[in-house]
Amino acid sequence: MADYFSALIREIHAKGREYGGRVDHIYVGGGTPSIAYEYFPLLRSAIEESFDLSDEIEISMECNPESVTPRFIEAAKAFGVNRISVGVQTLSDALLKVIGRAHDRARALNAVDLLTREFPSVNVDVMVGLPNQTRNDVAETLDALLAFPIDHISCYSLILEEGTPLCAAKERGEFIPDDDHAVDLYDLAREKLKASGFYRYEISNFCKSDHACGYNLSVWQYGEYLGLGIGASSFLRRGVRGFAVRLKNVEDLSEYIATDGTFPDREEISKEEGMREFIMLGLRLEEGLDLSAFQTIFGVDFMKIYGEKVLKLDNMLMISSTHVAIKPEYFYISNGIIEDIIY
Amino acid sequence: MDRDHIRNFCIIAHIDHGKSTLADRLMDVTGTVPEREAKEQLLDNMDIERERGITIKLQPVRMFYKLDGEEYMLNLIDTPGHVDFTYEVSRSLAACEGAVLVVDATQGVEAQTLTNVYLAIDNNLEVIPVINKVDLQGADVEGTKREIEDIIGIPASDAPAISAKTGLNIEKVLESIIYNLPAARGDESAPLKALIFDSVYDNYKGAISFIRVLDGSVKVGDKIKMFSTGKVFDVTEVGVFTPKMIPVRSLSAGEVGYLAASIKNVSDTAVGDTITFAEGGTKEPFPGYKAVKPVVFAGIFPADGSKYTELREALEKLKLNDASLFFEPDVSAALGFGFRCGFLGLLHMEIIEERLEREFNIDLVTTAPSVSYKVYKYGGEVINVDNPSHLPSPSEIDYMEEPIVRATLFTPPEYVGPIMELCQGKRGTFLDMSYVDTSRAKLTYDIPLAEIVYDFFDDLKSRTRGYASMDYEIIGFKKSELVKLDIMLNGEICDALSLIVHKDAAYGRGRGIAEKLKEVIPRQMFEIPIQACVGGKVIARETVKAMRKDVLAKCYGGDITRKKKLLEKQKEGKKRMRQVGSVSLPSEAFMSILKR
Repeated sequence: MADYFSALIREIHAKGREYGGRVDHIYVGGGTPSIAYEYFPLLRSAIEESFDLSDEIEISMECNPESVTPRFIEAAKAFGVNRISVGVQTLSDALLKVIGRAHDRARALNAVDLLTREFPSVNVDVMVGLPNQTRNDVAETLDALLAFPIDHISCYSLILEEGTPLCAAKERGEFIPDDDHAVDLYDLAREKLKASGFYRYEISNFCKSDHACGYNLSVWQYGEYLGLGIGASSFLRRGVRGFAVRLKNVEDLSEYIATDGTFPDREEISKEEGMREFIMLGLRLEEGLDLSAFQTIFGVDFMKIYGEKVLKLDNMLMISSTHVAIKPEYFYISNGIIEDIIY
Repeated sequence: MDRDHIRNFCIIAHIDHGKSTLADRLMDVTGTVPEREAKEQLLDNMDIERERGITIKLQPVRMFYKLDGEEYMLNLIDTPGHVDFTYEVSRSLAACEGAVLVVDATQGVEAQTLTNVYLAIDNNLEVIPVINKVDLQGADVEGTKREIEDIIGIPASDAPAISAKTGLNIEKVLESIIYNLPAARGDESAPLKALIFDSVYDNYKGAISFIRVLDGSVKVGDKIKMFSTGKVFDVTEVGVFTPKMIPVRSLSAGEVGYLAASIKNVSDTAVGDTITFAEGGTKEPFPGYKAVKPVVFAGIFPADGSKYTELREALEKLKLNDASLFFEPDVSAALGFGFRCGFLGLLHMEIIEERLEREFNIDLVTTAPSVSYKVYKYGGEVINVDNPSHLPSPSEIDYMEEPIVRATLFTPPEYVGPIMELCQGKRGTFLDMSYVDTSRAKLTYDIPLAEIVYDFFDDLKSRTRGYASMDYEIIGFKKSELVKLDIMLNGEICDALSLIVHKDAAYGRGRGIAEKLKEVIPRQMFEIPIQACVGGKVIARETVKAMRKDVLAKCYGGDITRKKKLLEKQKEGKKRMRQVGSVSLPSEAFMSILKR
């Protein structure tokens, strides 16, 4: 761990020298930063030395219920965290076991209680469509969570990925994913959240009034970001050959430590590719993709290039003079809609 | 060699009774092919034939055998073993004076045994029976001999009891061929008359005719004429089969060999045609020539539309070797550009499909096979329709006729009931039933060819556990109440799914297809009604519900590349599907109507 953090701090200094500049959001995530709270002070000073932090900076951090301890909370607050995100997933002990989580219901509720007392903005991750999950499971989980003053919920539908234990369980026939049921559960969650004053600002994200995650919002709006640490991704609109570049640090720990993350994978992004990404990300948002931003970034009129395809799908889209958005009732099939537009 | 010492013969048998194995053993015993070169079943040279254990293409071989101090030349002409190729069999038979009839001692006489024997007898061949597989448990040599005498009516008491597999008594077969089959006939002094019994295409030599010289002789440099077309060619090579093709100086009356004459198309060396000299040739061609006509038709389209040219080139190449394959360009609203192909039968169709996919690596989408219907329009015009989407509107049709086959079925008595039920269900007309002995019944039915083409064989096999055998020949056309069954997807007719069916079967087929399609069409962004219609009337309906979810995954900074690839992959998948109006159809949708 010490070796890793030395390398990370060297990377922060190196990247700071190379890119520097003003930073509006910091997102500490990917894995479980909560277990490494002893290193928070070192990280904070490295970042401060290398970048110009905005006065209104949003600093988000991810954690798991089982690592929410007074010492962690203290360290996170000292780091400057003002938005905390906790992966609860569900409050059903049986389902938590199925998905292999280390916490149980009591632990999760205790964590949410502590976090909402200590941080101004709290997000909770929940999942629907888990094996054999019932409407009651979903309703009960949300009711219990919404009793706390949380202002953001990321609600994910289970996606089975090859190689995971759940996928293996499916192949053994232990449960049969049912898209219709998953959508019903999601609708239930959406209604509950709506009734509690949350609005869906992105396909999988709900928040109260202006508590959207600033960092993620900027990603969906095709903003730049600099990723630091093992496996981290960066997106910078200054490619060597193309229009933008996406960098990805190595995934191997010893390789990362040996190189301080100075040899990331580079994916050069052409302007055309960039337009496709802009659309793919923008259409995830409730407000849709911003036509004037498209014009500013790419120097062309969106409707000139995509107008024909967009009009073909107009029953599923909302088209205004400033935005093109997928109608909320078609969010569930946004992949198909986006594909039809960009390919 | 003088004709007295030449025997031209073929081997006839039901499938799996051991024809190819016997041919291999005859070659071993006569030392025709060094053992190390002999692959199993040497005569069947195409992979597909070897895999299916059936012979499609004939491959002759010349053998020498010494008996009583004299040397004899034995020309074996192998024959295809399937009802699709009956005409080719008959031409091979016509090139011979005799036939060796192989009957499996564990199975007895089967439908094809009989068909082939009748064909041989029609061609005035002497038939000598051989009882095979006597080494197997359950072999009944005496019973099989009795069956041959009772059912076929030829003497079998002296038939050699052999095992082609172990090589038992193969010399006896050779002796019987020499003693009992007539010597090669012919008149060497008469003008050239040679029968084409097969042809192959060679990149260097052009189309090569496999011939039996009946009269006269032929050598390099001769100017020859094809009787049916009058086309004239210069002979560039004549030769024999060892079974490798070896050039010789000339071929004379009684002999079997090949002839090359820079012929560009195999269709110019039509099987059954007679070759003679351009000047002073024979007046009378060898009788029985007929142009082969396809009886089963289907649309063949490349699964990937951009492979149209490759598909055309592949079909052209196959056609070089297979004059009976017919194809012409076809366009389908659903499947794009492809070909309407005609085949001698279902097996022929399957072989062509398999060769296109395997040898040429082209994924295909094939429409349901159809027969050729005679459509009598008001006003007296008669047209042939083999493509359902070309059927005129019902208001123009006075009536229609469909091809009928006469089917002969052999079965153990316990399956007579199920077979009769099957034939009735397939609109069959019962003609005759007799017991050939206590263990075998013979049934004769007239059945519409369209029923055979659909799923008759599968049904027969399952109802009789594979114990019944069947053969058939087309006997003519019969008036029938036929309708066009259309499939509408989201309100639009998909031309590639249309069928011509009997009106009583329309409802069942329509419902079956709608149900199948519901299973194979993936859910899409909107609801898709599937309707089966006859004459504008909906007779069955299913619905593919709208897809409700294709996403809900998160997509943050680190997920973008992966997400993008996923979308690209999904789009690729969609592109491989066929667009019918607004609906995307996978290839399986078209397969689903081929079989029940």
